[in-house]
Amino acid sequence: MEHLAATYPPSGDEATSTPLPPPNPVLSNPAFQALVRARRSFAYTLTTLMLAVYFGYILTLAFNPALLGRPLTPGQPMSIGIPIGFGMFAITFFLVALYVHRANTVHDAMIHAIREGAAK
Amino acid sequence: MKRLSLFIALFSATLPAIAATPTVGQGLNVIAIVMFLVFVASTLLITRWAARNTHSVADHYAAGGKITAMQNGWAIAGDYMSAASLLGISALVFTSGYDGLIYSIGFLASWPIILFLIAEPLRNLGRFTLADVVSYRLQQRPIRAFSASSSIVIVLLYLVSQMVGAGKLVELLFGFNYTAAVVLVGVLMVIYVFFGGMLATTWIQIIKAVLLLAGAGFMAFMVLGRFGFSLNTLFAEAIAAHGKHTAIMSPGGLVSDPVSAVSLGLALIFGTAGLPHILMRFFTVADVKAARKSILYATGIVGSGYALIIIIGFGTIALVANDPLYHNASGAVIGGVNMVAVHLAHAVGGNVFLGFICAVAFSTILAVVAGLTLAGSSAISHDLYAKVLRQGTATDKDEMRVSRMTTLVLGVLSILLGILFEKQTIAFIVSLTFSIAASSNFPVLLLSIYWRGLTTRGAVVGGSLGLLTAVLLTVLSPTVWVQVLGHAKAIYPYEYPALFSMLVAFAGIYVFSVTDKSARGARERGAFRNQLVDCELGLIKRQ
Repeated sequence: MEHLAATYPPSGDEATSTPLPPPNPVLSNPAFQALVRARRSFAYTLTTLMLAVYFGYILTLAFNPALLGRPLTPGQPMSIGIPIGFGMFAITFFLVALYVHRANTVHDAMIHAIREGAAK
Repeated sequence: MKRLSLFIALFSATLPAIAATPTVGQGLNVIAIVMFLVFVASTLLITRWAARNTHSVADHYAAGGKITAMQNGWAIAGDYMSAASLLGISALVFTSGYDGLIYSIGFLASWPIILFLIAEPLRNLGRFTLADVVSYRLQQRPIRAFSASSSIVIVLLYLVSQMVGAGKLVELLFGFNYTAAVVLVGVLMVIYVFFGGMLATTWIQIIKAVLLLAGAGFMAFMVLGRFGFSLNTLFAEAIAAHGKHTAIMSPGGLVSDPVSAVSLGLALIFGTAGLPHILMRFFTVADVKAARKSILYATGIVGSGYALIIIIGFGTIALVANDPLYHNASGAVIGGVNMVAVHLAHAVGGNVFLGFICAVAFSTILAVVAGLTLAGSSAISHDLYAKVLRQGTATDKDEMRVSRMTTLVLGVLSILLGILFEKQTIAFIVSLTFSIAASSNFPVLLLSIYWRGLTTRGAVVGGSLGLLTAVLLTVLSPTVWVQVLGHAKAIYPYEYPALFSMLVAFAGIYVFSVTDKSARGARERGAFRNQLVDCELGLIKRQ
């Protein structure tokens, strides 16, 4: 895996004087390209989801606070906003757990395969 | 080791003076002081053990990468949940009910963003600081100078807010005087970081987080026990006890106009991803897998902590708001509303539990300032000294020496600033810190990882513009321009700057990168392809 292993690239002022290193051969490996696509699309999807849920909540607060203040069941003190608020904690944790699970299983296996393949 | 004993001698010499200081607060709280001394003694033992195990700069900055995912998860939670979380959020619930929940949701929502976008590339491309990552393909000296400067601004502001909070809290909890309390916090944090580095700091964070969660868990359990473990009964009692009645169950005045609401939301959710002392924690674990697992643990711990604090907050309304024991003659809460959680500890657990919660609050501050000091000193010694000034020729020994000297300087500086700002209104500082982080470090870090077109010129100019905009708009906002500087009308009408300052940062970075026609810029874009390989596969040799 020698041609793959990177040390820190030339840095600072020396960087402008040395020629640009050739592209790493792994860049043209279809498995690597598939890894980048899989990881990025998964990360971007979850980020969009989290931002949509969070700013959906924030904008509800800003434009329609009364909605969250309504009682969950008539006559009880619990407002709709309380389970929604605690639900935000739960969604946040769930998305984190989902990402970690997929990264631990799918993405790590892809990375491992690429490194093994390149080492041969 | 000799120096450590000297420090301890110095520290113990100041103790009698502190303990003898009379105050107007609740007077000396003996149980609290005993518990606090036990905590300090154990942290000093940890520091001694850590010092014996710290041999290289990698040990000093990153505990040699030997922290496990579970340990790091607790330490991240420890770094993140300051005394402001326990005391501030419960106080916010006490005064306006539901609004306390809004803040905690924002703080927690930042963790998925860090995990999805930042944590793994950071771990794969960096070594000790976030500047390691952004300087991967950008020109070392300007980009490190920028990144270290913005990190130091963030660290110093955060330190000031913590020091002032610490001084006031310790004054109230233990009966020390303000200046003595600030000096005490400063001396202890320097001891931890100077001798024990990241290893000591990490273990202090872990212990503090465990204590905080245990204390909050017990308090929430006791509160719920009073109301037959029914949230509805708790809420009903709180509504009956609170002057605003049912209004405490719905969002109040915290987010009045949409621009301020979105601005606050942006600062909370993206600011954490630019806080140097939080990002630094991802370098203390062995690999990317451990880094991501530590976020899972941290999210679980911080989330449960906030959920407990919300219950505690409603408990303070039901149990403290109308109890004359916790109010002075004029009807105000003794020590101010920030003390309601402390009073609640007394209400549900008596003097011993009160002492425990006081010690927990204090340990919380110590742990947070130690983490900040380490992040600040590494920005100076690793980025400015070793990479900018010495251009990589400094030996490990030199770098370590500079890091320790910087720790001392930061300690003295934060003590002085803490004393200087005692009488100032500093409530805006924490939100300013998050706004700056979201408008300087975060955009530069994000685009350096994901955008091929980023050049040094774009990063330095755009990042600096974002930082300056955040500071300028905060100064011109109602919180500073009207409430601190006493002008009649604010020039910038919204509470928080992040919406505009982040826009300025991203636009600035984009414009100054795409118009960068230099050979250096072209080279930096060309280097992106190989960065992508290291970013995804994590092949960089660390030592």
